[in-house]
Amino acid sequence: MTEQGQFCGTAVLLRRVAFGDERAWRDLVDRNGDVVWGAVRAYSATRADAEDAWQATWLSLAENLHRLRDAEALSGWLVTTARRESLRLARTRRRESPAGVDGVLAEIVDDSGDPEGDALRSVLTTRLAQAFSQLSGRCQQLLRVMAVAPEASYEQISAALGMARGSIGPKKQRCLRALRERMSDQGSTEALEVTAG
Amino acid sequence: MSAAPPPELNLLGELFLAGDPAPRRAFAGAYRAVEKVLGRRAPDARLVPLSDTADRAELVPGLEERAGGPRVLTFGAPGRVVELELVTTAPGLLRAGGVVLSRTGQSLAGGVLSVRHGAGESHDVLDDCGGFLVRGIAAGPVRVLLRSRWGSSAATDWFAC
Repeated sequence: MTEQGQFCGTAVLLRRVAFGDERAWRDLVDRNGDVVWGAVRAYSATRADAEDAWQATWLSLAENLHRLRDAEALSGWLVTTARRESLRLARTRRRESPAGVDGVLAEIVDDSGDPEGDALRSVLTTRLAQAFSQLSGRCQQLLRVMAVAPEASYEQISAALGMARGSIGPKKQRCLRALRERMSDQGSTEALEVTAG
Repeated sequence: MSAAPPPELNLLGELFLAGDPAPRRAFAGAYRAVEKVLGRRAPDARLVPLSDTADRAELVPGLEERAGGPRVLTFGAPGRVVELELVTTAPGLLRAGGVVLSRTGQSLAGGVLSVRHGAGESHDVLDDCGGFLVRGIAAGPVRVLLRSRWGSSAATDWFAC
């Protein structure tokens, strides 16, 4: 992200892009890339499908910039579009299931200078991933989007995932409880609290 | 969500961001997405050159002393006139200040004047009087684009400065 971009609000960036500033567009992509990727991965069966949905999402934003009136709604709009594009691709390719976390763990390397802490964290991460992969597809999608877009409101998540707003909180609690139960079976919940603290 | 996220969500967030980030090639594709849109949006009108002090300095011997000073260009399009003064601010670097006049009396505030140049694109939003100041223009071939707040646009051909 450029230094200039860090000091520009989303509204300013959107306006600059609308006037043809490609540098502002790159800042917009850099700022929101993690959220869009998290959403397309939540609704795509493979990384290749996710990349296609990701590209379609950004192209859709570029083509609809003039319709986006509220800058604060951007992250919600992106997640909604990412989900729609992912599901459209899944229908086309006749495969619909959320991406799991297989193959993810091998790429994570902790090196905090605390070998004992790193080892504990590594075990926790592995167990968390295993517990996550045992959840229902709907729970995986909800938790994945909430994990990568923690600033999103329930209203935005509701619109993005096509779920009733009032059901987001209870559903989240049920999914987290299921996650904890699976981790508890592995004896990991207490260690998680220690690590988080 | 005002309350702090539960630790499981934080760890999941770290897990996904660290272990399953968007590939760099995906970012490159996203950067190009806007090029497809902006690139196919041709200007609605051409800004036609009306005058250029550089031309006059060559033709009128008495104006030769102005060769090192500001270069003033005027362009016209239906309903609009752009007066542009190019000033060298550093070796190889210029700024463009000026005003966009509306022949129809319609306010131009909120429009944008952009200068495309060898190092990219620089722009300024027009003030209430149509004034602008664009900095950081690389000397060499440039193109001036004028976009109204309603989306219509006009552009010059490329010219050297």
